[in-house]
Amino acid sequence: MLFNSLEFALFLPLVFFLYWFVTNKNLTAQNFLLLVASYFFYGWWDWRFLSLLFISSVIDYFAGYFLDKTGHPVKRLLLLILSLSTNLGLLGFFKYYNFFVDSLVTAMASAGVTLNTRSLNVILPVGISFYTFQTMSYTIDLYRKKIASTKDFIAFLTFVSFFPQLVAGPIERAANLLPQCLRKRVFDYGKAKDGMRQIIWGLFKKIVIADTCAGQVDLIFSNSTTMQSSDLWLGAFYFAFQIYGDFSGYSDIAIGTARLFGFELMRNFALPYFSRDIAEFWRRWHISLSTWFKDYVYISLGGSYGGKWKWIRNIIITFTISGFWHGANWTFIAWGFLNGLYYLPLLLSNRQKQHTGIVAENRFFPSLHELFQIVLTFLMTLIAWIFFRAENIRHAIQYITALFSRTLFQLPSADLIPLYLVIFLVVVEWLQRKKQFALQIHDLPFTVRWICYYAVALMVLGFYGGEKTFIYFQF
Amino acid sequence: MNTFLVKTLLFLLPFFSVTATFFIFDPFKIWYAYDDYFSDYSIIINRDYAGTELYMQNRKKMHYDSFIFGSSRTLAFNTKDWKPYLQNNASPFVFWASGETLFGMWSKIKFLHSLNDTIKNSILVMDNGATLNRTGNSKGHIFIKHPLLSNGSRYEFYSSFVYAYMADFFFVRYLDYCFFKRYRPYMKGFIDERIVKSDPVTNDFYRISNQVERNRNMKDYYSKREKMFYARPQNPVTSKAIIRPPQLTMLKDIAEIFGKMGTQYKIVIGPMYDQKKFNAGDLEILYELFGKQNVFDYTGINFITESRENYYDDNHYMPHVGQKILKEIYSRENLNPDDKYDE
Repeated sequence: MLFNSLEFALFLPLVFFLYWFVTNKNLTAQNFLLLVASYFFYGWWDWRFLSLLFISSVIDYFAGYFLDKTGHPVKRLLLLILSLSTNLGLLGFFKYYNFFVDSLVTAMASAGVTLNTRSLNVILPVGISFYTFQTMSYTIDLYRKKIASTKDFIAFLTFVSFFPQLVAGPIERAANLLPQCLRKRVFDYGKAKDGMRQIIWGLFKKIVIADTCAGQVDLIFSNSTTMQSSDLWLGAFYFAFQIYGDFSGYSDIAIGTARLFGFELMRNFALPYFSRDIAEFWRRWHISLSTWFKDYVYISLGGSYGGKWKWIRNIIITFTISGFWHGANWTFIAWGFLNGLYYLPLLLSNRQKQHTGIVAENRFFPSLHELFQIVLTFLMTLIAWIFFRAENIRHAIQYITALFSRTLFQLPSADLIPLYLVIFLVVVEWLQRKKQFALQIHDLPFTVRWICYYAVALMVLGFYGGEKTFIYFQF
Repeated sequence: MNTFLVKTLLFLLPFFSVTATFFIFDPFKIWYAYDDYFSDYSIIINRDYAGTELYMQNRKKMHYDSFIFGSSRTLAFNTKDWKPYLQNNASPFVFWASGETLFGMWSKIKFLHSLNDTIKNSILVMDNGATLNRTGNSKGHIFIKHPLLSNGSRYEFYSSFVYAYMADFFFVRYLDYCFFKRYRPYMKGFIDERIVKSDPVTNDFYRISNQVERNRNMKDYYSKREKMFYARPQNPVTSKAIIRPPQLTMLKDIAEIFGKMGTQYKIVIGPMYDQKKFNAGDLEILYELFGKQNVFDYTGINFITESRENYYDDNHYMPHVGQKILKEIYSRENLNPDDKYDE
């Protein structure tokens, strides 16, 4: 079920009503309702894949249970391996099997060996990359003795399948979400109100920004060989905002929806395009995944210990794997690797943590120096996004090369309406950069606030062109 | 909680009101039953749905037994032109749909078969790619098939109309037109200004405004549409082969049902303005399945496609072309010796 669909518009109030008015007296009943609702939400897409979600949850529940019970290091390690191999096995088969087979066949063919292996028609289960990572974090944290296991099976299944964030994150940690599943939720008016605002803002980013940019992006990327440079720049620019609007919009709706049920999910996007360097960008973009990779891959590899070369190696490996997580294509690997390379100059000069606060915190405009840093960082990410969007590496290189042709200074022929909408988004987000999301306007007078809500909601309605899927569903 | 609910309802009230107008005014005519789906035409409706509903309403009374299947290109074939070639008591019906597909025709024929309704005569109007390409249900509120035909989800069917009503402020344009009955420039592409007529019994469709405009001044009609009637390539172009296993299965099903019912059928591959020749391999398959004497290919460069005066636009040929085709396909030379129908 998509957040921008009619069925979700019917599903959400129904679950909300049952949650607060029917099951509100009993925590287990509330969790059970959320569990059923979450499985229904997921099964709406394809009920057959509910079994994978259930298998992953059950194995991690029991792995967690026994991890807590035993102190034997070998047994604990075996239990961790069981959990990791189950989740990575599911992920590997459904997401990467064909990629590995095809890559192997191509590699062997270039060495003159013909392999008679063939690809399978494997459907990628929606959200598998998200929920497997979420459950793995539970068993890894248990193994590291950072958290305690839960015996409440229903609460655990609810933690894994919680519908607002099940298919596209934020990837929650057990330390944050599981305790919320285990304690009674009380309706909080302020939280719910803020949740509604965040849902509206998320829909705006998805429907008005991302979906409007998407049409032009598809057109420009599929005709990139015949397009002039100015259009190619615009295409890359639109894609940068398509993916931002799409994914951060999804996260906003997820966080907002969770708030309606009394849950607090982690912030997933913190105005990443106002970052002053690439390290800051990665502290602000898809935060739940970046921190996951930092905690479970980068730290496991040794982090910054063992000298500069090991540090560089760990950074590059982490970024490359993070790229591969996004999809079974060399373009994603190249995207991750390129971001790793971007990171190195900061790392070598030990400046990776120089920008941690809000840009121009006590000023209206950024300084010229800050503006230059923001633009430069944005341009770097823009080039990297081309790898992310391109059909293959050759297409990406052709696209990037064509960016710098003589037609660069010709007026673009692409539609400029998405550009005006993006400018509107950037201005609003700049003005609201100290807030969690741009529609957090509780300090404005009532009339102004409601005019803003209606204006945004009307734009959402006006730009709505049917239920267009979210990009991150494919990951 | 109460404050939250009241404020949320207050916020959503205008949106509920807009949604209510969808059910009250029923712009796409899918919510209530109508005797004539084109009586106060201003919005492009789903012709597949309208045709199916009309058929269901009249089938007991009319005992339809002769069917023309196809897309809007079937408007070249009127039942009054077809009747002289059919049995005296034949009761024809044009079972067409916008952007009709092989899936649509197959579903309709299977549906009629499941109702035990007879198909004594049939014309299947196909074309180069659009018809044969799709073997599943179509997307979008204009094209999605009636759930009775597709066995698809009713929810998916009805929700596609709700989406269409909300998308691109359609409801604003529609309600404005509904209340003030005045066409404004911003309604272009949403409110259909053309005058069309449909026969509520046979489902024949007439493009009145095109006919009137063309009759008034033919030269003007085509000079206004210079761009639409583009120059075709000098060398004939052939379409790619399109019949693959899924298409083949459906075509076999159609041939089997026609065989069971003893249907007198003709398959017309229409004279498209683009002059692309229908793929020879695909044509052979159709010959094999339906018999060479029943398949008529009018694609490519020929006496019809050469003149733009045979077309309303680059996609639709005119009823006088349909008349010529009917005459030719039902001429004595083309008759199968086994064909036995009254003259």
